[in-house]
Amino acid sequence: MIQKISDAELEIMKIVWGNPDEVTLFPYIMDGLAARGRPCQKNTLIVLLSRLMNKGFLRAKKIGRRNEYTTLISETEYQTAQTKHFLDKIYEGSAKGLVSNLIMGDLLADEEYEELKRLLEKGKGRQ
Amino acid sequence: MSAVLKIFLSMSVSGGLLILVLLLGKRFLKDKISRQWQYYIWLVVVLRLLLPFGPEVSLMGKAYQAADRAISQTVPIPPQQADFNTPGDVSAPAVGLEQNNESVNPPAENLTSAHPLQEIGTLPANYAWLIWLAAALGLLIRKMTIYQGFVRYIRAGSTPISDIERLDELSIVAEQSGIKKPIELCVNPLVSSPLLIGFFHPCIVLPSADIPEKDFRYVILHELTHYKRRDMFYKWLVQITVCLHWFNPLVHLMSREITRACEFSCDEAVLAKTGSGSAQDYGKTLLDAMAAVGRYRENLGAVTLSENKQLLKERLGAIMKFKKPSRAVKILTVVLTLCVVLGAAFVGVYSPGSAIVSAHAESLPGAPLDTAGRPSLSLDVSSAAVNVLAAADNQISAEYNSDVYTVRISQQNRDWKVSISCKTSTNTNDETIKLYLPSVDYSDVKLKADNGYLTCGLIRSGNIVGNFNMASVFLILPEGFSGSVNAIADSGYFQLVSQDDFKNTTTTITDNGDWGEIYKPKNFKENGNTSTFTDGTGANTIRVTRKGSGVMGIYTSQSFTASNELPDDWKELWQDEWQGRPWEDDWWQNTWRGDDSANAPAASDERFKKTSTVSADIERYYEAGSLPLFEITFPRLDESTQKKWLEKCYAEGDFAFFSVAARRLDTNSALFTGFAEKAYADEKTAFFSILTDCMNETQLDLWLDRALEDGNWAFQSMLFDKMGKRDEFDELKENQEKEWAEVQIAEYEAAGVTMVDEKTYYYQGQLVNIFLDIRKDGSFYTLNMNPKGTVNIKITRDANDDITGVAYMTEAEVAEQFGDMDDPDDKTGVEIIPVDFKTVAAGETIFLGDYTLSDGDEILYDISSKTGNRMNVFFAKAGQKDVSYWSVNNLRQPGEALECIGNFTVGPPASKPGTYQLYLQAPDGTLGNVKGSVSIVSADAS
Repeated sequence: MIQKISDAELEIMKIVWGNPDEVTLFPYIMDGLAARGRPCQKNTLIVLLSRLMNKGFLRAKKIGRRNEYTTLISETEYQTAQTKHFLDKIYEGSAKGLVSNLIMGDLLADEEYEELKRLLEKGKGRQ
Repeated sequence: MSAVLKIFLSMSVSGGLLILVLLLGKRFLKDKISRQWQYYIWLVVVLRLLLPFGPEVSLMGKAYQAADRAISQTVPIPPQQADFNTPGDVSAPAVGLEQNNESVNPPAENLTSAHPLQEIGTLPANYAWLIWLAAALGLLIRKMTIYQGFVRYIRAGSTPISDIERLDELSIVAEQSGIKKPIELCVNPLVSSPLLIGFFHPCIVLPSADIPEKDFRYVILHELTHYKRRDMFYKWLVQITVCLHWFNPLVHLMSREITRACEFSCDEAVLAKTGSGSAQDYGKTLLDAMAAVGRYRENLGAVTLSENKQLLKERLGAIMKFKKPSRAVKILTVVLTLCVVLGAAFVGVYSPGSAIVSAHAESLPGAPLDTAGRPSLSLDVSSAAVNVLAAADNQISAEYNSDVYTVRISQQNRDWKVSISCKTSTNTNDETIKLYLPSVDYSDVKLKADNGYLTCGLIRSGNIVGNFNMASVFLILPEGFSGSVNAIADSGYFQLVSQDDFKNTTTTITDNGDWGEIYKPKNFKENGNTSTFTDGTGANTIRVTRKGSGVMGIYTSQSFTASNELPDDWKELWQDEWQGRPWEDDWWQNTWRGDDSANAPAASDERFKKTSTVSADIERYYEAGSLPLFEITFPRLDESTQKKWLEKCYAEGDFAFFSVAARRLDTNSALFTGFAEKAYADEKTAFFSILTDCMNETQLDLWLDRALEDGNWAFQSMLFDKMGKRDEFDELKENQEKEWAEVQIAEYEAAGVTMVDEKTYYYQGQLVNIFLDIRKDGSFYTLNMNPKGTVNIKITRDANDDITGVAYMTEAEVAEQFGDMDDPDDKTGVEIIPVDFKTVAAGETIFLGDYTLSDGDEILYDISSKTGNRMNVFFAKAGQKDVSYWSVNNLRQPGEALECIGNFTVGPPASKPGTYQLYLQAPDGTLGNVKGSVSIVSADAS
């Protein structure tokens, strides 16, 4: 089961996920946080990273004095899990409820709506 | 009583004293002196309680000795000994030996200085220390599991704080405090006040995340200060002390006091950092922290912000009174610290050896031993000089200086144990310990020497296992030895002499050492790093292994001659030289220090300070006459010291030492060539000859050319010899002599002297009686006497040694030059002792008279024997025929005559002047037709 993470931790995960390279280095995250307008202390980041490792999101490989971080959970996996959790909690597992709510609440733009439709057709064909 | 427990009790008592003193002092000084000091001064007490070290003279040592003595005077009958014997047989226990065997008749005469304290405690105390240890371990384990449970409980219920601002603030404060390690920050509503857990992954646990900014700062500052000061480790050190001293209520009291002092001093440290202006705010934070109520015993091991209300009240008071220490207080602090530390040192600790030794006299009497069957022996020597001798009666005893050594002798069912160690850290080796052991057949013999000196030649039967480390060990296997030897010598010096030349043994010598070497008999078969020798039945296995860096000498009785055996001198040396020299100068290690001989002495007559261990050592070896050790050490000296030693040997005519030293020189070095030049210039053929032994062909050639050019006959002769060109030299010499004679004849002819042959000269037609041709320096060109001659003439020469004329000699001149020649009272200074025996029976030693020898006298042996295998000539002191001096002990070599030829000079380091007896011995088989002489050339004769 994928554990819950705090906002600050998610922020870090996003930076790591956004990194095109296989491994992520400490300064990259540090810079990423600063770029997102949420700079933090070095030790704070170390503490947060170690929490992420404990939660099974990251793995660190020690090379000399520096750590190379790799993700253990992909962004999609996380999103799926979160969405499922959200669905269970708010719509009691009903995706229909969610989509209808999106449409009813005018939360979808027209292009998004068309895109969704196409996706649904494809999904049908696959079955 | 168990020594460990005894030591521990003494530590507990002396620590307890200190605790009392500090608790009392605290009443008066609580507010005057730094809280930090009040906290850390307990560390002195904790160390006193944990470390069993103390100075020589200590309160505890004295107290114990007094107790021992008091008991030995007031308790005449230890009860349990009587139980072993017949009821009613009232006797005190035996002495010295902790004797557990049921000897039926305890000796009445050995009961003078009983030592009952040991005896009384023996049985119950054997278990007492077990109980103590078990309790201590149990307590410690309990404390540890409780703490672990607590940490698990706290961690499980904690949620990490993900507020980046808070985390950042923690990071900044930590960085300011100089903490590099990232600190985890959690919230756990179950804790009553903020606390710090974890040694390696520190974590600050707050009761709630919802605390004001200012409070948060103080809280983390307080906890980080704990972490920074390693209070966790201090706390656990105290907990360990409490566990070990569980029986001491004062130690428990101390633990409580330290916990309080810890918080006080931490508050002080926080305030010192934030400034006293913040005292009020800080105090408020403390009060707020108390608002929450915890549900777990958390004051064990974890470092909390607040402990209980009473303590909190005191802390608030202290915080409000906080001020920076004044100068006077600082001085007071220093003085108090000194007092406590010195006090801790003085109360000291009971040292197990002292009481026992001072209770005994200089000699340790033993009880008669059961020598039936084969007893086993274990001898353990540590930093002491021990000489094992045969006991006159069946007793183990030791003569030793009780101020320096501790000797323990024990016996249990024919298991004899002797352990000898040095009481002081720097052994002064006041004197050699004489250890008397019964000369019986042993089963297992364990010899262990760690540093120090051990001589043992007593074991004639037994399985010897030796473990020697950085020690000088001299092991002699007597004639007819049966059993086995398995010895490992790790560094140091190990010498093994088999007096029956490894008869019936399978001997294996393995060299696993690095620097150093092994001297061994020539007939040992070498194969890689092992040498083997098998003789006769080969039943006795001897296995010797060299490890580390050191020297080993394996000798048969033959190869072990005067040059390496100087038993008496060794003893004297031990007394005179090594005495007062601490053992710590283990030269085997120090020799690698290249720079330490820079200030070495110029000569041995200067008893130099201990500036250089190598040069001190080499002098020892020189004085001891130990060539192998001298040779081994010599290359470790620096060049200037090497030079000094070579010069010394050269000046004193010490060929043997000069020769081994020269062997270790590089023949191309300036030092070597310098001495070669010097010997050449001084015409010291003997020294030069030593040097030529080391030279290669090219070098010899160069010198020969030079000698030929200089017309230096003696050197030419020697060099030709060295190069194996004796014939060439003889030829050359013949030609040269002929040539020279012709020149001489021509020269004399020119001066008016006709030379017919070497014996016959004519001057102005008269046959010459005395013919004197003398150089300016006093040496003769020609000196001839022909009793038939009628005139005495002399040739005069000028400064260039050219002949200036011939003159008749006056009577006065003749008298001056030759007057003393036939003086009957003249002592030639040479005493010739003729030797002429038809036969010398096997084993016979013939006395050849007493001779008084003085320094510088020369002894020349020239004796040959037509038949027989072995001949030995030597001097010995009256009554000590077994210690030989200037001995020549030779074996017949195939195809050669049996001869004892040699010369010695009386004098240091090998010998002292005095009256000696001369002996001729036939150690192995009968000698026939022994002829020759022994000459003693008095030093004043030359």
